[in-house]
Amino acid sequence: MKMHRIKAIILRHLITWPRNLEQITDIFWWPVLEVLLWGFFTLYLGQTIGGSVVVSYLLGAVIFWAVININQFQSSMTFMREAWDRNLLNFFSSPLTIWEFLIGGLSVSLIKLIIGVIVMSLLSVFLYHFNIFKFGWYFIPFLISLTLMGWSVSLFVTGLILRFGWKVQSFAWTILSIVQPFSAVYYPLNVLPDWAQKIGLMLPSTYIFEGMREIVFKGGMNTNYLLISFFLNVLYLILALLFYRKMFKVAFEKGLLIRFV
Amino acid sequence: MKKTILSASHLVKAYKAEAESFSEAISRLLRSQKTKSFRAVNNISFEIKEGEILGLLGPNGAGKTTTINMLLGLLKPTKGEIRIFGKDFSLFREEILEQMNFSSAYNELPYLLTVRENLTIFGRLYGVKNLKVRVEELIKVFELGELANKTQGTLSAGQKARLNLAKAFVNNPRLVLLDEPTASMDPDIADKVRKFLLETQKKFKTAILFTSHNMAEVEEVCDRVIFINKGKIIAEDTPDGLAKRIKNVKVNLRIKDGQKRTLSWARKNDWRANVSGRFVEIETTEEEIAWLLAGLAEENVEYNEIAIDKPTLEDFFLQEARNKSPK
Repeated sequence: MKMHRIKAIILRHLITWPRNLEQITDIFWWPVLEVLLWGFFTLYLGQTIGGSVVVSYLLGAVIFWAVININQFQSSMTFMREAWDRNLLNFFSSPLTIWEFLIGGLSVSLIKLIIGVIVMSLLSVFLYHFNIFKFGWYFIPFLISLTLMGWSVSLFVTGLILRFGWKVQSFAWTILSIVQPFSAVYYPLNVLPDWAQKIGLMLPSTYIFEGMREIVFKGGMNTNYLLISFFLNVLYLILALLFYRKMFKVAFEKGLLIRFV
Repeated sequence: MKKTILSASHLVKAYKAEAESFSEAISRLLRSQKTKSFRAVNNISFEIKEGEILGLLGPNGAGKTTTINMLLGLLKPTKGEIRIFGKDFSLFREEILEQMNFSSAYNELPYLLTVRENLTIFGRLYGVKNLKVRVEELIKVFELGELANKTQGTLSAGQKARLNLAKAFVNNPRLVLLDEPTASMDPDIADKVRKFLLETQKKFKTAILFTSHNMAEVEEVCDRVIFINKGKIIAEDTPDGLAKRIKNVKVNLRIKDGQKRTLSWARKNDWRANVSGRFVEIETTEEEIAWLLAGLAEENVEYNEIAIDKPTLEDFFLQEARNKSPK
């Protein structure tokens, strides 16, 4: 693994990012819109049912969900952009390995995540007096856990697109909307029907959002939530990495990269 | 003796024909039907020596691109071995690709990066030392100065092809694979590019695998040519050697009087003849030219222009692509 190749991938995306309105929109537009929408809604709820708890609860959920979203979408996009630019052949006929390409893409998603979270947090502070750091030291493991989940989903999506081509590209921006209702982002898990709760329990994100609600309502959380979430994340990340590697292997055997030219 | 830079032995790439629909896949499975397969490349072996420019020719679908993709590691061969710089490609991919590069006129580079940024990013990928100097050198050589700060997406097809070529030489490669590098370039730039390739070959002993549909270009640039069709090597020789395999020459006559007698003489001798206005083109062998002209004199045919076209690489290409199927 060579650092100069990973840096080249990061640089390639950071240079083009500000030049593409669509890419700027992806980072700022949707997260800001979510904060505004949910923020004003929570203000309204606060006025009618009272208390600042609702603000913490919903805005926290919005910001933490954005962590998964930005990580998944942006790391999937690093692959998609090379495919759209018809540049995959140039990259993979160079000494670049699939792991260097992956680490470069994940690093880009992290940089964009940091920027996105800062913007959302500042907006929440200024508009609604909500500070995301009120979750204390839990903020860091929450962030790591949700990042890992975003990456696992992204690896899975990238593998699918590599194997099945453009016809499944819409997964890159829709897959998380399938996961979100089971993750108990805006409501507790127990409001879901039994079968949906079972699915929810298999998702690392569910434990983070349940934990977040415990902090808001009880001031602390069961650390087992974090442990289970991390265990599931590690498991899914390993599976996703194996899937990513396997799909590249199939792509090199069947010449699938060539269809992105 | 020159070092062997690339050696491909008994390369095969077979594809299984995939089911076109889900129901077809299921029905195949239920009937335990064997998936049909075809060989895009069928047992080909060749070598490239240090400082050699090898032409890879063949009609569309012959297997040229599949071969190039296997040599670049984009496609895993079904059988066979590729050794580059004396090393097994499947085991030393990274190390080998650091000293190789590739360009295709049909390939794109990131469209939002400028010319200079594209060369810089690829220079970094290949770990080029003194990258700034190298990038400026290439910008000068490929006359990209005025375009250096323009994004790739705003360039014309010819300008993009020049950028692609500049990228292919960013790491001073020992082996370059060029797939129709001058397609879509104007004749002046294409000529400069050919000169650059020949200079690079001489100066750095760079080995080049070259494909083109411009036969005159192949004759000018390539030391040796491999002709492939339907995945097999049909012929291997110098461009001149391949052209000489065509026995027929074309005798072009501007007939003043006796066009019918000319055609009848050609028919009598089983020579193919084409008429275009006052011109008659007769295909015959070099040895039979004297017999042809003597016959025309005897038939009192009068002509006021004569031109004899010797066979070219293009004639060989046309003959092989149209008439022969691989042995």
